[in-house]
Amino acid sequence: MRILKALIKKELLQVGRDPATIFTTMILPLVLLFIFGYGINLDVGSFKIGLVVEGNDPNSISLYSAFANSRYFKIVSGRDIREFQDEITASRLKGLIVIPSDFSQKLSSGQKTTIMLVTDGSDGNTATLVRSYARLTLLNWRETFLAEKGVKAPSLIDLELRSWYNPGLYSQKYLLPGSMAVILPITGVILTALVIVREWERGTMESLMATRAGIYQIITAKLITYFFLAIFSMLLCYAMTVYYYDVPFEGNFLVFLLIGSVFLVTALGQGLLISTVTKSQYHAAELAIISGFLPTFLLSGVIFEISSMPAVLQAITRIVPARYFVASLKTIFLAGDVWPVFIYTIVHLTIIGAAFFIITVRKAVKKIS
Amino acid sequence: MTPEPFISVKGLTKTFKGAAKPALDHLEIQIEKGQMVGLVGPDGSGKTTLLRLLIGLMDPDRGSISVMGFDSRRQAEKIQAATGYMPQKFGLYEDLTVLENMNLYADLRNSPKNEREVRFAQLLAFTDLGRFRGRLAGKLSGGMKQKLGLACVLIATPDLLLLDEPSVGVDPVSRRELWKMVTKLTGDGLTVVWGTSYLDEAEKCSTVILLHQGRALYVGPPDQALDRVNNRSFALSGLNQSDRRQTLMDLLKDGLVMDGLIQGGDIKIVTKENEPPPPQLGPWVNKKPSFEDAFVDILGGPTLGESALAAKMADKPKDGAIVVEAIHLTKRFGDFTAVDDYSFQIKRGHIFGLLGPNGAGKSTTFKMMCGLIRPTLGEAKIAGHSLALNPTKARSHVGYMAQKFSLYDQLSVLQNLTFFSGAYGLFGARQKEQIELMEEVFDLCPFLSLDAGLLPLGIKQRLALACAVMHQPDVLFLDEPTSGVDPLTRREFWLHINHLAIKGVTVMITTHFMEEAENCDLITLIYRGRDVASGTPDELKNLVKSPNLPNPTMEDAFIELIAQNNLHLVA
Amino acid sequence: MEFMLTVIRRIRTLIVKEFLILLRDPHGRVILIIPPIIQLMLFAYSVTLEVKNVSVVILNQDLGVHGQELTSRIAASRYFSSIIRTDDPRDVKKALDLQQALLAVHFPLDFSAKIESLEGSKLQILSDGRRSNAAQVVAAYLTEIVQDYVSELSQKNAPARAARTTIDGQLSYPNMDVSVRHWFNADLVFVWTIIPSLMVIITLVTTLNVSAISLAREKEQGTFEQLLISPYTPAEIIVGKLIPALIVAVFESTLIYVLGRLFYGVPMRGSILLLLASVTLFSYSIIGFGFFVSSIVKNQQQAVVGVFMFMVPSVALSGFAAPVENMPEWLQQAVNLNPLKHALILLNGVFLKNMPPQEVWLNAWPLLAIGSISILFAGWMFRRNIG
Repeated sequence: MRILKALIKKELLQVGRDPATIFTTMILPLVLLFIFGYGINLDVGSFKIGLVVEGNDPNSISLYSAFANSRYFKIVSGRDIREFQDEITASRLKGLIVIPSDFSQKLSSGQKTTIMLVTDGSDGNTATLVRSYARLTLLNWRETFLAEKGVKAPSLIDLELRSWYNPGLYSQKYLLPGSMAVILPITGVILTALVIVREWERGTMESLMATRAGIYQIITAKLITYFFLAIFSMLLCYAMTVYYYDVPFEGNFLVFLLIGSVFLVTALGQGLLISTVTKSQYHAAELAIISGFLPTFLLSGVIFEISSMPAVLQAITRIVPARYFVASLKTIFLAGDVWPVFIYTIVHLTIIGAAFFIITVRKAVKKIS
Repeated sequence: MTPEPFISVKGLTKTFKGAAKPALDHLEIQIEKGQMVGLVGPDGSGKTTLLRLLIGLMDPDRGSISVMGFDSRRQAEKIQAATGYMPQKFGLYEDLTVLENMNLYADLRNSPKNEREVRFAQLLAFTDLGRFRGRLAGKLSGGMKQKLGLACVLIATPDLLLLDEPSVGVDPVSRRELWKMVTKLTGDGLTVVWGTSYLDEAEKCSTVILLHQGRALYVGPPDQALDRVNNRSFALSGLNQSDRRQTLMDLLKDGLVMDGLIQGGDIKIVTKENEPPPPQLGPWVNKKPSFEDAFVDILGGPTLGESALAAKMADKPKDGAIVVEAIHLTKRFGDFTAVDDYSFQIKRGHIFGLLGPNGAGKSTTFKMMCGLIRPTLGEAKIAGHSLALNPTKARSHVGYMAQKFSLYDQLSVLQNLTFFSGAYGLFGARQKEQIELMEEVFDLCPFLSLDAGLLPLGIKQRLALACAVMHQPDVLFLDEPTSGVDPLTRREFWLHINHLAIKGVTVMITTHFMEEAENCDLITLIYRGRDVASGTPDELKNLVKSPNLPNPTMEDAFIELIAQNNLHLVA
Repeated sequence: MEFMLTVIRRIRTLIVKEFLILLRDPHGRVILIIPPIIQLMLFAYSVTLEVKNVSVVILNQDLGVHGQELTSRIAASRYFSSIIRTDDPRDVKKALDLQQALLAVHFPLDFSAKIESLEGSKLQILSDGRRSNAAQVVAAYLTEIVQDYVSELSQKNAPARAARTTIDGQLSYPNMDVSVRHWFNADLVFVWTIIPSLMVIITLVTTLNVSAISLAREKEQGTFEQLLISPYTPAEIIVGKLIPALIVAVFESTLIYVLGRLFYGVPMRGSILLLLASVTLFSYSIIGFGFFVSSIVKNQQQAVVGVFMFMVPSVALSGFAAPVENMPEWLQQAVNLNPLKHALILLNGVFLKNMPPQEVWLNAWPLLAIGSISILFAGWMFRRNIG
């Protein structure tokens, strides 16, 4: 225990003198959270599209205004579809809508009326959004159109959409808590990925090991030190999410700390594993960069729905620790304490974390080779 | 039953993965308690490996090691608890202060808290680090780092001290201090195994182990080894300063001589067994042999004759021109003046020695001379080109060997040679020719495909020198080229350096081996950034001649001149 | 002439060295090839905002036929992979809480009865706000299903409807639709969109390694000093570092390109030369940034911090994960400094849209500018370090 204490003291002194570590724990998470907060927004945006109205009748113009006033779109109007072709190729317009010349006539004659939408299929996600928004705008216009004609809503089914946990449906409210699961591993992996391999490169590992300190104590001391730094980062993120971005926090704070701790140990375990299996700082850095961001960002379900992925990929996401943390984070912030979700998270994180540590311990043999 | 010796090594064999030959080969060693054991041998002879095996950081492949009755395989913890081990890089945390490093190792070595204060006070007084207890270890000079390293391993009063070349890169003053400290400790019954490439240190040990290719060629008291070189060591004095280099080179080609060195104005030789000193010169004075003479003899003597490197080199004009010039060089880092108004000139074909304690400003001077640091004031010129105005031109004349090995660790020896020759503008047939020459001259053929990072220190230094001279520069800057290098390789280096100087190459060199400084034409001793004494080696030695010191060595001169200067500073 | 030849040969020496360091070690070779392939395989099908395989819980308290009918229509839709039917409201809460279902549909007791009486009935859809984006998309699917059903009913019941005759004596309930044409990708194959983006992102990751970290390593090992004191001019050193990194970057892109064409069937409609030029310019800007990072750091660990500090924002703010249009106005302006944003437009454009050269240039010059400014700044920092 005394040895462990001494080693932790050493780590703390080193941390205190390293501006990069302090930056990584205190500034980096906030900067990243800030960027995620403003940069990643899946709420309805307003897409710039072209609009061609072929007719000149009141109905066409009314529909035109509906699009022009829609919060989904910014309209550039034109006379001919060809005017916009190049703009779409250049990605300056995300689509274009044509209200055909026979629109009004068909509407009046009770025939099926169709407006044409062209999207930029090269950007599939945007194309899908544009399609949904165009349809929605059209349906809304139909309601106003009928109302103007003095018809009371004739709908046989009155759809009532309600969202639990996030009534305003703001994407920030679930993206921000989820972002923590992406940001914290970055901090963790930066802090730990290079530390052990660096002790080897600088020759200090050899003298530590010639004392009573064993490799396990050395690793444990690092883990404990960086764990507290990471917890500190997590609290910073929490504060920013709740107080700056006004995301509600429905759950129990202590439970949050508990789940966060389990996750951070796993995330640090990933870094320590990299640090142990690589033979130079350079390779450790490479692995950290490759594994530290994209897999958690893309496979944790923070933005991209895991259930929409092919089965094989869904299976692979099961070894991404952030996946479990994302589910718990969203729940504890927005829904409250749903223990089955938390227990599922904790159990899985513990298994993954234990695997990381078993491999780390096996690879970090005491003897020099 | 005879009592088990303190350390007993039996049939010890260790082979590294991928190596053709074992690093240690059926080694048998016994060390009694309270001895001071010098562990010497050429680079790559297995010194570090043996020390690591003794402390149980590695397991032997075959054979056994018992230390204080503990088996190194099964009871490594017990050995480690009673042993202080100081690895080559000292094992200090550069971002911790002196006191924090000591506290860390005190905790790790389980030194009782209540005794700590007394022990720390003792050690700080002992190492003279008291004033620096709050300074970061990274900001200490090499000598101070080494003392701190020692203090850290002594904290828990170990029974056995293992030191792996603690004096590499350390100036003579600090080296002498370290020696005194350790000898004081052996008086208290401590057993010390001291790996070193300074044979004057080994000479003072009670037992010497000479390792060579994983085998112990000699185990015993150093005096016994001297027998073999008795009556074979001679000196010749009264030579003309400018001739002595050529004279020595001629002597070395003579079949009678086993070894020869320049000592200021004198030449010292060791003849081959049963051979008289060369009769064409004289009169020869019989000298008391040193352990180094014996060491060189046991290992079969250095490679002698002409330097193949210099032989292939075109003669530079013998015009006596000033090739390297420093004009009022000054460098300040904040409040700290690293180099203070320093001027010197070096003539073509001269060897200029820049001596001084660690942290005196030698490396800063070197860096200013090759344009790595911009001087705060003053100017550096190479072959007439100012480094500030025309750096590329100026640098193309320079070959530089940095203090820290700075070739590409990840590249093989051959790839490093190819790269650095190309960097200096050698291509095609000429490049090939030069590379082959380097392979031959520095005996690099067996290592060509090995990663430079994995080479033993001596080979690394050879490679670094090869990379520095490959483009046949007019000027050679050598920053501690022989640091940590064994005597045989050092002789080889100096054979080349002397020959290159004869050819007209201008050399600026720093070294902590004072006997090497004897080769210089001109020496400046700098201390705290200032030039405190300049002159030929003999002039410097004469400066400190006194009734107490009728026959000072270069090392005596160094230590005395620094001490005098300290007095000035105090007064 | 002679002089130029020497310069070129000396730069070649630097390039050869760089490649030896990169490729000599088996680990180094593996890391250039395996991670990109793995990343491609992992991400190609995972990066989509499309919502599939949705679970929905249906609380059907309705006794009539309409609840039944709608339930079976929902079950038949390709979006929904599993339907949990229940008549206990507590199950709804449980399913949503535990994220077993993304949405819940609640048919009230009198659902069918009220439809039959033309009074109209409420239909409640509850969604999980923790996944509000997916929930919204699915709610839109559900809305469509319900609207279609209502339209059918309206047509069928037409004579009975009072409203029918009130509008101009004509048809009351207009039947409208949007016909969609996805240009460049008629069937909206998502993987076509993703591969060009991944080409850029995966190249980004590797390129940062071979620029920022490799230079930081040279600084830490002292070989950078060795280069500085050699007769190389700073410009030569930069070119000698730049070219190998460019070659590696283009190699990475090519690797992804070939795999994307072979295994994911992404069409290549534009000019391969423009594609190459785009990739090269993008890499140039990233390498420039890598040099910039390595010029201000002291060691490799700090370089890793710098790399993340650059990589995460540039991916997050590129339009890859979320549309640039959704960002606040000030941020939309700021992301013009993000090389990745331009590169995504370029690569999608050249790959799928046969983007003409003048359009390519519009997005390419910012890359050139970003790269050049970074490199100049790095050079200036390196010089300052000497002083």
